Amino acid sequence: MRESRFMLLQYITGSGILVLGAMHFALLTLQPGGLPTSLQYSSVKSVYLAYGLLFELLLVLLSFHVFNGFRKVLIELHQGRTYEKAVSWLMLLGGSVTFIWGTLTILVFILGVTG
Amino acid sequence: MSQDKGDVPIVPLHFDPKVMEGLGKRIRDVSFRVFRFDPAKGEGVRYSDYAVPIFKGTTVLDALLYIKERLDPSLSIRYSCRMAVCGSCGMVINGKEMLACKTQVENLGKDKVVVRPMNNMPVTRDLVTDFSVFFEKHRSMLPYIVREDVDLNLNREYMQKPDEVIDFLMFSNCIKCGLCYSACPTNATDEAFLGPMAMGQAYRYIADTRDGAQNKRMEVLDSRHGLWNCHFAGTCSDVCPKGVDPAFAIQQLKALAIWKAGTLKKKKPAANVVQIRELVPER
Repeated sequence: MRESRFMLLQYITGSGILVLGAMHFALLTLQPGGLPTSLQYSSVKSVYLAYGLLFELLLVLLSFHVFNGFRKVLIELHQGRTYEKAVSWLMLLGGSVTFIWGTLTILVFILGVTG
Repeated sequence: MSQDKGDVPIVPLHFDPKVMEGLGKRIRDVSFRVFRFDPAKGEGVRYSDYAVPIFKGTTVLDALLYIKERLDPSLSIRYSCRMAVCGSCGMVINGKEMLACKTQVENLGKDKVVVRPMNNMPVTRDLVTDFSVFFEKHRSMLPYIVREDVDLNLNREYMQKPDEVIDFLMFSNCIKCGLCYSACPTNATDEAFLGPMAMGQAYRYIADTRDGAQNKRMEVLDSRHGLWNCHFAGTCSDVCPKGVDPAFAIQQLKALAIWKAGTLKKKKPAANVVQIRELVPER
């Protein structure tokens, strides 16, 4: 894939993170009672599905944005075909692990709440 | 400090004291601290100090030539036109990339001038740097008009409107002096980075309606060490002695690359060849 495709996705995910991050912040603070009550069990339960979906989407965007950004930084700091290939695969692995780990956490959260 | 011992057998005409009188009143002596490095000697980098008389209009290149001709013949400098056209005498003067022939010592406003070779290029000797990689990157941009319908028939010409010329005219002024390449912070960390000059020249031809090799150039530009490593520091545009704005060109190329990545839209075809006789009726 060309770098412009990566960068297009980087811009899209960056914008998405801003929007979803703002929503996440709003969900925490704009509830009746504000931040102190937002993490109470009843408050969380009332929005658990929306929370789960929001976090999952945020996780997808973050997994790509963070690791692609890190890849660009590492490749700029040092060059070499083997090194660059290794960095790319390592970042892909890092992003995948983060995504899987995060998804499991979210599932546990949703199942935990529903269970 | 090296001193003028007066034992240099040949004194060039322009440093003849009588000629120097014609330059006006000797303003003052300025201390020059010059970077010295000779790989053949196997010595490390050192700086040499010289006292140089300054007249109205004395450039840094004049001063360096004075040092070479009167004080230290071993000093290596690259220069040619002395009028900011050839781009040979680029160097870092008091911490900023400048053409030595275009920089007047008085305008620096300092009693001490530190001169060193350009950054991000290997030093061949003293103030002379190796441009090989710099020009390889330039060549990779196909810095010429590419068309499939090459026609050397002199009865034809490639038509262009004045507005279309303005799109790339500024970038035609590039003299390939390398100052932008030296000032670029990305080139300092990423030696494979194409650099501002090469990308500015790529834009010069991509923006040219007569050209048809946008996709070939974009393949190189849109790579790991191409467009996207530019952080828009703007130092390239800041130091350009010809007023070229490579940072702007790179941003334009980024926009084009993103546009192509998002829409797969191709550039409009190159301008058609127009017969001259269509424009000027034969008599």
